[in-house]
Amino acid sequence: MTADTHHPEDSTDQPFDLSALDPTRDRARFAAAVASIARNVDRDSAAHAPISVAGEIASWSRPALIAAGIILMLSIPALSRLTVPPFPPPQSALGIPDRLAELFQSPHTPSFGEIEAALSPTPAPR
Amino acid sequence: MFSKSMPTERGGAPSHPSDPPDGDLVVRARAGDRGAFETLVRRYYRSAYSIALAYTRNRADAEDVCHDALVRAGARLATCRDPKRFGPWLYAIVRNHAKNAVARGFVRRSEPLSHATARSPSDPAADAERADVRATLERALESLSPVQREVVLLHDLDGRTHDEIAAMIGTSSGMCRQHLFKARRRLRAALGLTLRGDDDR
Repeated sequence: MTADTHHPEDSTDQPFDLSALDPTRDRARFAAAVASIARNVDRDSAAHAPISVAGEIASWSRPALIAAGIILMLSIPALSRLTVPPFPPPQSALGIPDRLAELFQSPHTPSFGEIEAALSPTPAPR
Repeated sequence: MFSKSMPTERGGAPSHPSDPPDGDLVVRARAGDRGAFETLVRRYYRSAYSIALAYTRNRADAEDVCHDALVRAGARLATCRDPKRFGPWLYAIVRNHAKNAVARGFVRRSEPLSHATARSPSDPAADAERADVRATLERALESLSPVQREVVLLHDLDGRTHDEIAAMIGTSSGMCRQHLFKARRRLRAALGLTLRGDDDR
Protein backbone atom coordinates (compact mmCIF):
# COMPACT_ATOMS: atom_id res chain seq x y z
CA MET A 1 0.00 0.00 0.00
CA THR A 2 1.50 3.33 -0.99
CA ALA A 3 1.07 6.41 1.17
CA ASP A 4 -0.59 9.48 -0.27
CA THR A 5 2.14 11.79 -1.52
CA HIS A 6 0.46 14.88 -2.94
CA HIS A 7 2.34 16.99 -0.40
CA PRO A 8 5.34 14.96 0.80
CA GLU A 9 6.35 17.56 3.39
CA ASP A 10 2.81 17.75 4.81
CA SER A 11 2.54 15.36 7.75
CA THR A 12 -1.23 15.13 7.29
CA ASP A 13 -0.61 13.07 4.16
CA GLN A 14 1.10 10.39 6.17
CA PRO A 15 -1.03 7.45 7.31
CA PHE A 16 -2.08 7.31 10.89
CA ASP A 17 -1.19 4.34 13.03
CA LEU A 18 -4.63 3.16 14.10
CA SER A 19 -3.50 -0.36 14.93
CA ALA A 20 -4.63 0.14 18.53
CA LEU A 21 -8.17 0.10 17.13
CA ASP A 22 -7.61 -3.07 15.09
CA PRO A 23 -10.16 -5.68 16.27
CA THR A 24 -8.16 -8.52 14.76
CA ARG A 25 -5.02 -7.68 16.67
CA ASP A 26 -5.98 -9.83 19.65
CA ARG A 27 -6.08 -13.20 17.90
CA ALA A 28 -7.88 -15.09 20.64
CA ARG A 29 -10.52 -12.42 20.95
CA PHE A 30 -10.93 -12.29 17.18
CA ALA A 31 -11.26 -16.08 16.95
CA ALA A 32 -13.91 -15.99 19.67
CA ALA A 33 -15.80 -13.30 17.77
CA VAL A 34 -15.76 -15.33 14.54
CA ALA A 35 -16.95 -18.45 16.36
CA SER A 36 -19.71 -16.50 18.10
CA ILE A 37 -20.92 -15.10 14.80
CA ALA A 38 -21.01 -18.55 13.16
CA ARG A 39 -22.84 -19.97 16.18
CA ASN A 40 -25.47 -17.26 16.07
CA VAL A 41 -25.91 -17.71 12.32
CA ASP A 42 -26.65 -21.42 12.87
CA ARG A 43 -29.18 -20.57 15.55
CA ASP A 44 -30.78 -17.81 13.49
CA SER A 45 -30.96 -20.03 10.39
CA ALA A 46 -32.65 -22.80 12.36
CA ALA A 47 -35.22 -20.36 13.73
CA HIS A 48 -36.08 -19.15 10.22
CA ALA A 49 -36.02 -22.55 8.49
CA PRO A 50 -38.81 -23.01 5.90
CA ILE A 51 -41.85 -24.95 7.15
CA SER A 52 -43.08 -28.09 5.33
CA VAL A 53 -46.69 -29.30 5.62
CA ALA A 54 -45.64 -32.88 6.34
CA GLY A 55 -43.19 -31.73 8.95
CA GLU A 56 -45.80 -29.52 10.55
CA ILE A 57 -48.31 -32.39 10.72
CA ALA A 58 -45.69 -34.74 12.10
CA SER A 59 -44.75 -32.23 14.73
CA TRP A 60 -48.35 -32.06 15.91
CA SER A 61 -49.00 -35.86 15.86
CA ARG A 62 -47.17 -36.57 19.07
CA PRO A 63 -48.91 -33.97 21.22
CA ALA A 64 -52.22 -34.96 19.64
CA LEU A 65 -51.65 -38.60 20.57
CA ILE A 66 -50.67 -37.60 24.07
CA ALA A 67 -53.85 -35.54 24.43
CA ALA A 68 -55.98 -38.44 23.19
CA GLY A 69 -54.32 -40.77 25.68
CA ILE A 70 -55.00 -38.38 28.55
CA ILE A 71 -58.65 -38.04 27.57
CA LEU A 72 -58.98 -41.84 27.40
CA MET A 73 -57.37 -42.27 30.81
CA LEU A 74 -59.74 -39.74 32.33
CA SER A 75 -62.82 -41.28 30.75
CA ILE A 76 -62.17 -44.93 31.76
CA PRO A 77 -63.69 -44.58 35.27
CA ALA A 78 -66.79 -42.92 33.86
CA LEU A 79 -67.14 -45.51 31.12
CA SER A 80 -66.85 -48.38 33.58
CA ARG A 81 -69.83 -47.05 35.57
CA LEU A 82 -72.12 -47.08 32.55
CA THR A 83 -74.91 -49.84 32.53
CA VAL A 84 -76.07 -50.55 29.06
CA PRO A 85 -79.64 -51.86 28.94
CA PRO A 86 -80.06 -55.19 27.19
CA PHE A 87 -81.05 -54.91 23.61
CA PRO A 88 -84.69 -56.00 22.94
CA PRO A 89 -85.06 -59.23 20.93
CA PRO A 90 -85.15 -58.60 17.19
CA GLN A 91 -88.70 -59.99 16.84
CA SER A 92 -89.98 -57.11 18.94
CA ALA A 93 -88.58 -54.66 16.43
CA LEU A 94 -90.42 -56.54 13.66
CA GLY A 95 -93.73 -56.68 15.57
CA ILE A 96 -93.73 -60.49 15.99
CA PRO A 97 -95.43 -61.63 19.26
CA ASP A 98 -93.04 -63.29 21.69
CA ARG A 99 -95.19 -66.47 21.98
CA LEU A 100 -95.12 -66.92 18.22
CA ALA A 101 -91.36 -66.41 18.11
CA GLU A 102 -90.95 -69.03 20.84
CA LEU A 103 -93.08 -71.54 18.88
CA PHE A 104 -90.91 -71.18 15.78
CA GLN A 105 -87.74 -71.38 17.83
CA SER A 106 -88.86 -74.66 19.46
CA PRO A 107 -87.56 -77.93 17.95
CA HIS A 108 -91.04 -79.47 17.15
CA THR A 109 -93.30 -78.18 14.37
CA PRO A 110 -96.14 -76.12 15.84
CA SER A 111 -99.78 -77.04 15.06
CA PHE A 112 -102.30 -74.61 13.64
CA GLY A 113 -104.03 -74.46 17.01
CA GLU A 114 -100.86 -73.49 18.73
CA ILE A 115 -100.14 -70.81 16.10
CA GLU A 116 -103.73 -69.47 16.46
CA ALA A 117 -103.34 -69.35 20.20
CA ALA A 118 -100.00 -67.53 19.87
CA LEU A 119 -101.52 -64.93 17.57
CA SER A 120 -104.49 -64.30 19.88
CA PRO A 121 -104.16 -61.31 22.12
CA THR A 122 -103.05 -62.13 25.67
CA PRO A 123 -106.12 -62.15 27.96
CA ALA A 124 -106.03 -59.44 30.66
CA PRO A 125 -105.28 -60.74 34.18
CA ARG A 126 -108.27 -60.85 36.60
CA MET B 1 3.17 7.32 19.55
CA PHE B 2 1.32 7.26 16.24
CA SER B 3 4.20 6.42 13.94
CA LYS B 4 3.52 5.47 10.38
CA SER B 5 2.39 1.90 10.11
CA MET B 6 0.01 0.07 7.83
CA PRO B 7 -2.08 -3.02 8.56
CA THR B 8 -0.42 -6.31 7.73
CA GLU B 9 -3.47 -7.55 5.84
CA ARG B 10 -5.75 -5.61 3.54
CA GLY B 11 -9.40 -6.14 4.13
CA GLY B 12 -11.99 -7.36 1.70
CA ALA B 13 -10.01 -9.39 -0.80
CA PRO B 14 -8.23 -12.72 -0.89
CA SER B 15 -4.77 -12.29 0.62
CA HIS B 16 -3.21 -14.73 -1.79
CA PRO B 17 -4.10 -15.78 -5.33
CA SER B 18 -4.77 -19.28 -4.05
CA ASP B 19 -7.45 -18.05 -1.63
CA PRO B 20 -10.96 -18.74 -2.90
CA PRO B 21 -12.80 -15.70 -4.25
CA ASP B 22 -15.83 -14.30 -2.47
CA GLY B 23 -18.28 -15.76 -4.99
CA ASP B 24 -17.08 -19.32 -4.35
CA LEU B 25 -17.15 -18.86 -0.60
CA VAL B 26 -20.68 -17.49 -0.65
CA VAL B 27 -21.93 -20.41 -2.74
CA ARG B 28 -20.26 -22.89 -0.40
CA ALA B 29 -21.55 -21.11 2.67
CA ARG B 30 -25.08 -21.22 1.29
CA ALA B 31 -24.68 -24.98 0.91
CA GLY B 32 -23.89 -25.22 4.61
CA ASP B 33 -20.09 -24.97 4.58
CA ARG B 34 -19.48 -23.26 7.91
CA GLY B 35 -15.76 -22.97 7.21
CA ALA B 36 -16.45 -20.98 4.06
CA PHE B 37 -18.62 -18.56 5.99
CA GLU B 38 -16.01 -18.16 8.69
CA THR B 39 -13.44 -17.35 6.00
CA LEU B 40 -15.70 -14.58 4.74
CA VAL B 41 -16.11 -13.26 8.27
CA ARG B 42 -12.36 -13.18 8.84
CA ARG B 43 -11.85 -11.50 5.47
CA TYR B 44 -14.38 -8.71 6.04
CA TYR B 45 -14.43 -8.30 9.80
CA ARG B 46 -12.04 -5.36 9.99
CA SER B 47 -13.79 -3.50 7.17
CA ALA B 48 -17.17 -4.05 8.80
CA TYR B 49 -15.74 -2.99 12.15
CA SER B 50 -14.27 0.18 10.63
CA ILE B 51 -17.66 1.18 9.26
CA ALA B 52 -19.38 0.36 12.54
CA LEU B 53 -16.80 2.31 14.54
CA ALA B 54 -17.26 5.32 12.28
CA TYR B 55 -20.87 5.51 13.43
CA THR B 56 -20.72 4.27 17.00
CA ARG B 57 -17.41 5.93 17.94
CA ASN B 58 -16.52 3.36 20.57
CA ARG B 59 -15.11 -0.13 20.45
CA ALA B 60 -17.72 -2.04 22.44
CA ASP B 61 -20.66 -0.75 20.44
CA ALA B 62 -18.77 -1.19 17.18
CA GLU B 63 -18.12 -4.82 18.07
CA ASP B 64 -21.79 -5.38 18.84
CA VAL B 65 -22.93 -3.75 15.60
CA CYS B 66 -20.35 -5.64 13.58
CA HIS B 67 -21.32 -8.91 15.25
CA ASP B 68 -25.06 -8.42 14.69
CA ALA B 69 -24.58 -7.32 11.08
CA LEU B 70 -22.43 -10.33 10.24
CA VAL B 71 -24.92 -12.68 11.90
CA ARG B 72 -27.71 -11.16 9.87
CA ALA B 73 -25.66 -11.41 6.68
CA GLY B 74 -24.85 -15.05 7.39
CA ALA B 75 -28.44 -15.98 8.11
CA ARG B 76 -29.71 -14.10 5.02
CA LEU B 77 -26.97 -15.21 2.63
CA ALA B 78 -29.57 -16.47 0.19
CA THR B 79 -30.66 -12.86 -0.40
CA CYS B 80 -27.20 -11.83 -1.67
CA ARG B 81 -28.10 -11.65 -5.35
CA ASP B 82 -24.55 -11.47 -6.67
CA PRO B 83 -22.16 -13.60 -4.58
CA LYS B 84 -19.18 -11.86 -6.20
CA ARG B 85 -20.36 -8.60 -4.65
CA PHE B 86 -20.61 -9.95 -1.13
CA GLY B 87 -18.50 -7.07 0.20
CA PRO B 88 -20.73 -4.16 -0.88
CA TRP B 89 -23.79 -6.16 0.14
CA LEU B 90 -22.31 -6.71 3.59
CA TYR B 91 -21.25 -3.08 3.98
CA ALA B 92 -24.81 -1.93 3.34
CA ILE B 93 -26.02 -4.24 6.11
CA VAL B 94 -23.34 -2.98 8.50
CA ARG B 95 -24.12 0.62 7.73
CA ASN B 96 -27.86 0.09 8.29
CA HIS B 97 -27.24 -1.74 11.54
CA ALA B 98 -24.91 1.01 12.73
CA LYS B 99 -27.37 3.78 11.92
CA ASN B 100 -30.24 1.90 13.56
CA ALA B 101 -28.14 1.13 16.61
CA VAL B 102 -27.17 4.78 17.01
CA ALA B 103 -30.82 5.81 16.68
CA ARG B 104 -31.99 3.13 19.12
CA GLY B 105 -29.25 3.44 21.66
CA PHE B 106 -27.32 0.18 20.95
CA VAL B 107 -29.76 -2.59 21.91
CA ARG B 108 -27.96 -5.95 21.95
CA ARG B 109 -29.92 -8.64 20.03
CA SER B 110 -27.72 -11.67 19.58
CA GLU B 111 -25.64 -13.75 21.94
CA PRO B 112 -22.96 -11.43 23.17
CA LEU B 113 -19.29 -12.08 22.87
CA SER B 114 -18.05 -12.54 26.38
CA HIS B 115 -15.35 -9.92 26.60
CA ALA B 116 -13.95 -11.46 29.76
CA THR B 117 -13.57 -14.95 28.33
CA ALA B 118 -12.33 -13.70 24.97
CA ARG B 119 -9.44 -11.74 26.41
CA SER B 120 -6.14 -13.40 25.66
CA PRO B 121 -3.57 -13.74 28.42
CA SER B 122 -1.05 -10.94 28.03
CA ASP B 123 0.95 -8.38 29.94
CA PRO B 124 -1.52 -6.34 32.03
CA ALA B 125 0.64 -3.24 31.72
CA ALA B 126 0.72 -3.53 27.93
CA ASP B 127 -3.03 -4.11 27.94
CA ALA B 128 -3.56 -0.99 29.98
CA GLU B 129 -1.36 1.06 27.69
CA ARG B 130 -3.18 -0.21 24.61
CA ALA B 131 -6.53 0.56 26.24
CA ASP B 132 -5.29 4.08 26.96
CA VAL B 133 -4.14 4.60 23.37
CA ARG B 134 -7.43 3.21 22.11
CA ALA B 135 -9.44 5.56 24.30
CA THR B 136 -7.32 8.50 23.16
CA LEU B 137 -7.88 7.62 19.49
CA GLU B 138 -11.61 7.15 20.02
CA ARG B 139 -11.85 10.58 21.61
CA ALA B 140 -9.88 12.10 18.73
CA LEU B 141 -12.14 10.39 16.17
CA GLU B 142 -15.14 12.15 17.69
CA SER B 143 -13.80 15.43 16.28
CA LEU B 144 -14.34 14.09 12.74
CA SER B 145 -17.49 13.96 10.68
CA PRO B 146 -18.98 10.47 10.12
CA VAL B 147 -17.71 10.28 6.54
CA GLN B 148 -14.22 11.45 7.59
CA ARG B 149 -14.17 8.79 10.29
CA GLU B 150 -15.22 6.14 7.83
CA VAL B 151 -12.61 7.16 5.26
CA VAL B 152 -9.68 7.38 7.68
CA LEU B 153 -10.60 4.07 9.35
CA LEU B 154 -11.02 2.23 6.06
CA HIS B 155 -7.78 3.70 4.70
CA ASP B 156 -5.41 3.81 7.64
CA LEU B 157 -6.84 0.93 9.71
CA ASP B 158 -8.20 -1.43 7.06
CA GLY B 159 -5.71 -0.64 4.30
CA ARG B 160 -8.22 0.18 1.56
CA THR B 161 -7.34 2.18 -1.52
CA HIS B 162 -9.09 5.41 -2.42
CA ASP B 163 -10.91 3.73 -5.30
CA GLU B 164 -12.22 0.99 -3.03
CA ILE B 165 -13.32 3.43 -0.35
CA ALA B 166 -14.95 5.68 -2.93
CA ALA B 167 -16.99 2.72 -4.18
CA MET B 168 -17.91 1.74 -0.62
CA ILE B 169 -19.17 5.14 0.48
CA GLY B 170 -20.57 6.23 -2.87
CA THR B 171 -18.27 9.07 -3.76
CA SER B 172 -15.37 9.84 -6.10
CA SER B 173 -11.75 8.95 -5.49
CA GLY B 174 -10.89 12.65 -5.42
CA MET B 175 -13.46 13.40 -2.73
CA CYS B 176 -12.19 10.43 -0.80
CA ARG B 177 -8.68 11.92 -0.81
CA GLN B 178 -10.02 15.23 0.43
CA HIS B 179 -11.92 13.55 3.25
CA LEU B 180 -8.80 11.66 4.24
CA PHE B 181 -6.63 14.77 4.17
CA LYS B 182 -9.04 16.68 6.39
CA ALA B 183 -9.54 13.71 8.70
CA ARG B 184 -5.85 13.31 9.34
CA ARG B 185 -5.41 17.02 9.94
CA ARG B 186 -8.23 17.05 12.47
CA LEU B 187 -6.94 13.94 14.16
CA ARG B 188 -3.49 15.45 14.57
CA ALA B 189 -5.01 18.62 15.91
CA ALA B 190 -7.15 16.68 18.40
CA LEU B 191 -4.23 14.58 19.54
CA GLY B 192 -1.96 17.59 19.70
CA LEU B 193 -4.40 19.29 22.07
CA THR B 194 -4.51 16.14 24.20
CA LEU B 195 -0.72 15.96 24.37
CA ARG B 196 -0.44 19.64 25.27
CA GLY B 197 -3.04 19.11 28.02
CA ASP B 198 -1.02 16.21 29.43
CA ASP B 199 2.17 18.27 29.37
CA ASP B 200 0.55 21.13 31.29
CA ARG B 201 -0.39 18.95 34.27
